[in-house]
Amino acid sequence: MIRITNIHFRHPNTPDSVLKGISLQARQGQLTTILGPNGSGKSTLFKCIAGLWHPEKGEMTFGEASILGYNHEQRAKLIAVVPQEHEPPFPYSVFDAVLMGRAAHVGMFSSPSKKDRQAAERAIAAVGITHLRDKTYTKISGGERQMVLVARALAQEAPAMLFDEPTSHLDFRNQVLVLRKIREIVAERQVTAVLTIHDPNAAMLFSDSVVLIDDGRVIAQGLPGDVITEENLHAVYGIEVVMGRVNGTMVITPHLLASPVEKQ
Amino acid sequence: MRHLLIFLLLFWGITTAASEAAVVSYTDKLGRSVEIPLPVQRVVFFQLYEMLPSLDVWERVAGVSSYVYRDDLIRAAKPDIEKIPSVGTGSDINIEAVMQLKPDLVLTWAWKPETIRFMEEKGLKVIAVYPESIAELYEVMHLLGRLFEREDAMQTTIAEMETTFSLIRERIGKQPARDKRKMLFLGGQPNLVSCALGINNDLLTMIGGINPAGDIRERSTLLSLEQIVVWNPEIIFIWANAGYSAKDILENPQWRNIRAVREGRVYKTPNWTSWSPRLTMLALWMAKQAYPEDFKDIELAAMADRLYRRVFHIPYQPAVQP
Amino acid sequence: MTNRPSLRVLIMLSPLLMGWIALFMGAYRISPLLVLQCLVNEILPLPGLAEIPERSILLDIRLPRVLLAGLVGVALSGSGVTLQGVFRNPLVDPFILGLSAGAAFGCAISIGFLPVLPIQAAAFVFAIASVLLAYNIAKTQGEVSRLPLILSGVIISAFFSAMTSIIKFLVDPHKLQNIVFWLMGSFSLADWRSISVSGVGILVALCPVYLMRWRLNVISMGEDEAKLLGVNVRRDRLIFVVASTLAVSLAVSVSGIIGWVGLMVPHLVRMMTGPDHKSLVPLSMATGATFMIFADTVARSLTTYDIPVGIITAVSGAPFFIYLMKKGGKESWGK
Repeated sequence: MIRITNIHFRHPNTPDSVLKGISLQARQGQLTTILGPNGSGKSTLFKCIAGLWHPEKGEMTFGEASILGYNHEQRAKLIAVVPQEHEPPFPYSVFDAVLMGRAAHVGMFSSPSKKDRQAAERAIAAVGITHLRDKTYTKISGGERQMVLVARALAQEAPAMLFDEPTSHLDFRNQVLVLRKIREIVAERQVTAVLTIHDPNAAMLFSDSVVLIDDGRVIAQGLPGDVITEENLHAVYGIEVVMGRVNGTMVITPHLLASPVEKQ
Repeated sequence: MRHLLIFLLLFWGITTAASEAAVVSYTDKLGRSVEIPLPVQRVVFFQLYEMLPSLDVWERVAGVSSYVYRDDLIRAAKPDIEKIPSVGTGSDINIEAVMQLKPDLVLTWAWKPETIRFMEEKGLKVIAVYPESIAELYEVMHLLGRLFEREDAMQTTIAEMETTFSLIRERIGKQPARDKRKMLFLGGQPNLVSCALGINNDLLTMIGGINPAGDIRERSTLLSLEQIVVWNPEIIFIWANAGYSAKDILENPQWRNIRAVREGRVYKTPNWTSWSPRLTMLALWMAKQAYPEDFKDIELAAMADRLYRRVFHIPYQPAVQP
Repeated sequence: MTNRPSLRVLIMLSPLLMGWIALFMGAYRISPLLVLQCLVNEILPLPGLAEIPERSILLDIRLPRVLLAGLVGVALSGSGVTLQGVFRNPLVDPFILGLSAGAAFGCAISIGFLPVLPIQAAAFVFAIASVLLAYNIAKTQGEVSRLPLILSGVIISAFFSAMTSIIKFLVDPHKLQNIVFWLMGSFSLADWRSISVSGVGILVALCPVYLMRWRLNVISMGEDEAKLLGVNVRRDRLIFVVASTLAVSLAVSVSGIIGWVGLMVPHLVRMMTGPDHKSLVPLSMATGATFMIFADTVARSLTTYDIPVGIITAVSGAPFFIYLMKKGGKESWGK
């Protein structure tokens, strides 16, 4: 379990904090989604959990251990991060790209071993992209690239996984495929998964637990149905929404006739 | 009436003759045409300063290269040389200092055309020289003679130089052609070799040498070591200011198979500049190394003394060679 | 892009092949049979060979020259591929980044004014300085994009070239000759001493690069991403840059500035065998050695003159760079 307690973050030389005391929990075997509008502090929170930025104040633990002071190598063994897909400067093959996930396990003066290569193969199979194995990473579609990054994180064999807006650059089909795959992995491997996401519907559909944040604070935390309510969304997004039950789940649609409220 | 005409004719003749003599026109090494009105009273010497003791025009020297202070000939000929200000060196001219002297003429070498152009723009008269043969050297000396109206001093100097050169040529000439020895003249790097252009080549020819690089129409060029081995020179001369010594060549295994190295005939020349009457001393020295048997009776010090007295008007005092 | 193992084996062996051919070429005609005999003689003394001139020419002149060319080729392309990975930029090499110019400046200072300072040390100090400067000038918000890095490399290169010109201007004209000629890049005076001084150093310096080469894959994905994957980016990057800078400084100190090799060779190899640094690094080094030996053999055999090898690499390198720019298009100029 990842537990984050009272995290504050401020950019150096700025007076205002971006994160103003965030606390959340992510349980093993569950998909915890961090939901919030632009500027809510989602990406800042993501970077703090990933270890790229350091909070001013607060605590972060994984299981019993505090991971706040961990260096990148230590952290990578615990948390595998799936960033948004992007183009690297060189045309690596998909296999080579996934193999990079083994970096935390490969010694400084070594190259990946047979074990590492096998881990990469397994990860590729688990994500279902074996047909892409020898293709060039830069030449496949955005959705396929995102899957490769998921496979890479899987190859890392870390107990926790952190996904940065895994669906924001994807088309409808790929959004569904990726989120479904993530759910599958989480269930199968019992990893602790944290996602940042901006789409309330996706959060509703795929999460076990939702943390709604706005303006650097946690507005609500808990089951999706409890957190994603018409009032909460109105308060956070300034949009009036209507929620309805469709196909066994709640669906959020904006109220078309009402005008958006000016956010304070 | 007739008297008047004759008078006018004479007058016209004299004035034109006088006005022609009043300007020296010269095309220098960079192809620049320069007109220098005579008399020149203030000249800055960056090159050819070893001509000064024979020209004997010290009062007309406004400034000199700082190398002049270290020149043993100049120090002997004019012990108070430091009274004449130094204005940098030929490679590093202090143009402001030069301009302050308000010279009539600046004599420098053609190494840095940009500097010369700059000085020209500032209104200075510059002549750039780079004698690439003994004949060219003589030509430049004649120029100096005309500029300072000391043609006879230069003529005497040239004659004196020719005496020595003729002596060398005569003794060498006694050698049948097949005995000419292959010689190389090395520069700042051991594989930088003097080629067809330049006084070094003239010297090698004069002392009965064959310069294998003499077909290359450059001043000098870089060669691969193998090429030098192929040429297999019998004698190697090294530029006086090279950063390496004869010993370095003799002990270098890469040169081992060259005849000159096997026979120990690698010589670093003494530090006598080529653009000077002392070229004769250099030539004699090299001749003695190349064909010692033909110059056994020639004593360098005696020949130098003769040169010094006749041309520089002082006795010969050997400088301490580094 | 082929992955045939046979191609890779061929590439790895190519320096030996090229070096072998190069031993048969030179201004001094030595019959192939005699070359072989002289070489065999080194292991198994053959009668009558001890004192012939060909032996000395082969072993004292030709062999060290070929070896040094190979070693410098390794240094330049090894550091080229490393810098391309570290800076995520396929268009850089030690020459473009100003590294060579910095090293040359260090050598010029050492020759011109501070002979007490060993050339290699001075070269290294200023080579490191130039990399740091180029990097810091190009850096905005912690990341270095491709075009700014090339531009700042050009600036740094120009800066150190200008500084070297100042040295040339101020120095004793007699020392000037030394500086000028060796700035042009040439193996003409290669001997066993220069191999022991620099050649060995080059191999030692590139050891960490070779051992850590797979990590270049990860680092090339981006600084943040590499951190997330568990790489100590600062440390690894430092090692890569220092090691390749040392290798290049040693190369420059012994043979002058030779450009474009570090750019061309990794590119060619990447096109042939793929960008995985695990194979790219050794293959680039091998190809660099082959290319350098080839270029130097042309330089010393084409004419009577010993053409400075830097001219040959520039003549082939600059058009190649233009071709890369055009072909790469958006990819090359990228973000």
